[in-house]
Amino acid sequence: MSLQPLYDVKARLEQTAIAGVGLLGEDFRLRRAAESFKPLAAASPVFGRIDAGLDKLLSAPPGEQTGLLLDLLALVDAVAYTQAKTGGTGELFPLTGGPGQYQELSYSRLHPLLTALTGTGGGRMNQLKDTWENHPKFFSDYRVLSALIAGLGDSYSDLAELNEFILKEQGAWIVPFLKEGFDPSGKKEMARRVEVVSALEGAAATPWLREVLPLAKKDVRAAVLAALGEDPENVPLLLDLSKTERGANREAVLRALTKQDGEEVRAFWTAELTKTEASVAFLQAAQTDWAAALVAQGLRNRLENFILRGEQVSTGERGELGNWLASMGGKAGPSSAAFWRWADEHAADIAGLKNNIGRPLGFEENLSNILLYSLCTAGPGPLCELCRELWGNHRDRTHYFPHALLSALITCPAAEVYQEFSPYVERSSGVRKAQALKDTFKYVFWNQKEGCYQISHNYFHVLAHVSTRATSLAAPLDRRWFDLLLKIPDMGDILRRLVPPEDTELCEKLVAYQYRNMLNGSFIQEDVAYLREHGWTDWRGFLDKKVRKDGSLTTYAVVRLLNETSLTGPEKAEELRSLYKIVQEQHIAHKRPTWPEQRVQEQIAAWEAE
Amino acid sequence: MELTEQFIFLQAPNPAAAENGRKLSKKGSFSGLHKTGDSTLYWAECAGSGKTPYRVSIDWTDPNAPVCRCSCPSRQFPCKHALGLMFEQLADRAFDEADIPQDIADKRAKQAAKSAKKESAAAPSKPKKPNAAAQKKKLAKQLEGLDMAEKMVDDLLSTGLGALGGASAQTYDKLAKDLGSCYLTGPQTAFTRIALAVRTVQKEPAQADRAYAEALRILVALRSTIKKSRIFLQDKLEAGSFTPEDSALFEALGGVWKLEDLRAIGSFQENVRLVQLSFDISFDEAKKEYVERGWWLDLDGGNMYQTLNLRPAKALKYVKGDDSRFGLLEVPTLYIYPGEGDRRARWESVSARPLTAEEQAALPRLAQPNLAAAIKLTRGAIKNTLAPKFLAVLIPIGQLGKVEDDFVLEDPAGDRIVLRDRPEDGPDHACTRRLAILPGEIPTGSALFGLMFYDEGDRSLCLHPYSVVTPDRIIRLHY
Repeated sequence: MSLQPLYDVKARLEQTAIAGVGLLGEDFRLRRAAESFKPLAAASPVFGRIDAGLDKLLSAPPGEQTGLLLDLLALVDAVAYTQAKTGGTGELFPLTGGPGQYQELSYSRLHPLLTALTGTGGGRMNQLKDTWENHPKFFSDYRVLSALIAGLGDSYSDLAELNEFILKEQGAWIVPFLKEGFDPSGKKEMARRVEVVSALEGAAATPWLREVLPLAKKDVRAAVLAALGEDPENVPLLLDLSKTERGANREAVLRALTKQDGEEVRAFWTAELTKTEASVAFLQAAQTDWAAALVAQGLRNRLENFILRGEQVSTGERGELGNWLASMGGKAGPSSAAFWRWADEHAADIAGLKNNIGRPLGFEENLSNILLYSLCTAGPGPLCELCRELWGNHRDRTHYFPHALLSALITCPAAEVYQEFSPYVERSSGVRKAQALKDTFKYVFWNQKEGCYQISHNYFHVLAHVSTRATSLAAPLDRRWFDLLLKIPDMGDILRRLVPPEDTELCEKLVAYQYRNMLNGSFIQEDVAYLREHGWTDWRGFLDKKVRKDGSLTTYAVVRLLNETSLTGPEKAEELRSLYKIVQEQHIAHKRPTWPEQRVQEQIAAWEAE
Repeated sequence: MELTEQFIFLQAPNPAAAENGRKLSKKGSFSGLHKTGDSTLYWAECAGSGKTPYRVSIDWTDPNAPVCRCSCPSRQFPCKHALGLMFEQLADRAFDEADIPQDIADKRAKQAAKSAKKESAAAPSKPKKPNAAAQKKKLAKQLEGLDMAEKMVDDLLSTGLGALGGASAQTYDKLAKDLGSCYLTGPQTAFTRIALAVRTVQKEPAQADRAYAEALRILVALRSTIKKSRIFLQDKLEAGSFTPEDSALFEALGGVWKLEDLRAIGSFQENVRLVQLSFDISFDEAKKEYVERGWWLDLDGGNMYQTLNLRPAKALKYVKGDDSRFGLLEVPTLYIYPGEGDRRARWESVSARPLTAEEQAALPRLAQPNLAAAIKLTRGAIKNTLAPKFLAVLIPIGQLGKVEDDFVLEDPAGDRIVLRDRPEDGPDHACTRRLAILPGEIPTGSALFGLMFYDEGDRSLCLHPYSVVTPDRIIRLHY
């Protein structure tokens, strides 16, 4: 029995309600539907009731129509529910269990995370970072994981990159999730999926990468090409692709080839650098001996050329030189050691190079920095010996002091290092000593997560997980270093990184140091925060000297510093009043501009009201 | 009572407060950790932004309802310091035993005296007699309001739902407010919902069919409410009966059940064991309130209940939010709202504990015997014009799979139902697709929990799945 007449009647009744019962008399479609329904009326009592209801409705006076219409709708709906099918016919393909995990995450934990991953607007990055920091296991939940993968396409690229980082930390078990629904002609989201698969599977991803390569387009193609570099088996394919790919895709091929080794690859790069010098930038990440040799030789040739030529170095040439030097970063093979020795022997010539307006090029400083960067990246090894050797040759200069001291710190026992290097520091004059120590210890930090001291060229990158290029010290720092460091002014930032939070003795010393600095007027907001966090309470007059010394200090900056203290509102108001007095006195004496009085008074009033 | 992270989050006024408490604990802000010998009171000092640390304590005299005290000026209760102290306990920090501080002992005594006074006041010597005159007046006013509501329905359908928009929608909003003055907040909300549905049509013409269907469903329910309520109220007026009765109409008219009223009509059970199967939050645009809904399975009777925590948007800060609950709740007295289908339940006090392996294994066995039985129940429930057009059901799983693009549940008898998200719940409730990535294989003897509903789109009964209940665990697809 076809129920279509029932559904037709239902649709017409609903339409009547939308159009208004006022038009019921003219509704020929409803009449036609009612006529079509008649044959069903005999099929069951309930259909009979509907039929009778339709007749009644169509002949009802205006005052009764609405009630009858709704009663009839209720009846028709009820019958429709009774007659509803449940579907699902056809061949059933059973669901196979996914590889994910299930975590018992309550709404209050899961919803903010899913909203951050799938929503829009501000605060999402913070939510994700916070969850990753405090509850990394939440991300392995299958509900979060699918949102995390979808979040690779987030229009907020920083957030998409964070998602990518988190996915890479999950492990290879998530790879099936990434391959599920992968679209080779997709956009950035799919390209990031390829990057994650490549990071998790390495060379094992090759079959899948080769499978998707013919269909891959734009960003995805570039990502696939770069990922092929994880497998040495792909070298012949990559060499072929270097001839056919163009633009960003060819750059991806070059990046892939920097990870490979062998004579073919060396020959390719030799030819590539001869043809396109700018391609040397791709060799920055290459760690192979051939790459180090090629870059070292290329850089040396260029420097020799400039020294021999004796002319000024043009801006363009300087840029190219910078590219070659940047590519030397992180390289630690014998070729690079030979280069550094050569550079040391020709230090005077290099220092004599002039820029296009006849001023010193200052390239020797860049060289020193890159050597330091390479040391921090490479860790213990031949570069350490080289640095100590260079220092040994030039003990009269501080130039190689940080290199040598850092090399010693990552290879020798702490006491031994102190005994070797502290005499030099003690002998040096104040400023020179301070600078040498600053230049060294700015690369050293206490990694709370790892529970050890490390060196890195960019400590922020290490802590933010942007880079993992950090080398641990051979042993914890000799505590006597702190006695030296705590005597040097403006070391608050470095010392805060060096003092482990649970080392109460050092923390106390640092608090005393920060307070001394504060009274001298040389401090920043982080110093004040450190003191407050360590229970400092004596804030009276702490800003006086700073305000006197620094005429450019604004009310905004002062209010922020005061807010960082543990002073109560009225106490802060009192401090601000006294500081404003100092400013006014200096202003009258024509030593500085004054502060906007209205702003100061408003702030004082606000604090006093607290 | 076992202190768990979930328990701490449930005490918190909001998740951020609990997280902040955890951070305080993690960064070592607490000092002077002490407890009494009987471990009923824990106290400590917590470093704040001021000079002097805050004094914070937790009184565990009633383990299910700890009393938190803190000297901080926070208006949140409990504050992050008290929650942080709970995290200190959870982390098994060493608390030194000490005598109870005098000030807390005084507060404790005061609290005990207050509770005793409350209890004695709560034990009524004789039942409260309603004010007959006032109740009579109220009933008469409600009947008057029903006439007004009926007239509004007539007017609305005379001109047609399609004409309800712009100025006329505003007029209906105003008229609906008058219903509120007649103690008919139920019909008032119904009119607001109709106006909202029609506005949806104007804003999103593509949603017209669904929105009009929703508006009509409300109108049908409203008509039914008016008809049945008129008889219900007239009977009450004639009989001079002014107490709440075991009828869903009381709530449909806008009545709010108090626990003592539910107790008075005998709508309660004792010593109930409940397990939450799912939790969700939605925003009721008509009432401007958040609806926090939990779906619960009664471990002994196999009944399904829902809990609704209603948080008006205007008072969001002042009404504590609900959250997902894991494990088992032992409810001394479960108050059940009158009605059919998924009945609403509430309780005054509850204690939580983890599920035992036997209890967990018993859960899927509480499912309907088969899909056909669940369908029969649903058809019966949604036919009722006053009931919502869905029913929460637990169905035994034969297998879960896909037929073309549809997810399908096949019960052990081989009957099937299509699984899909209920459109009325919106995209934030979408979770059917998660079945495809469900972790691990579903063991034999599992059941699927969800809301069975009628989908106008293809005139079929479907199931919106929310949880997979296996003999080992409950895997939630949503929250």
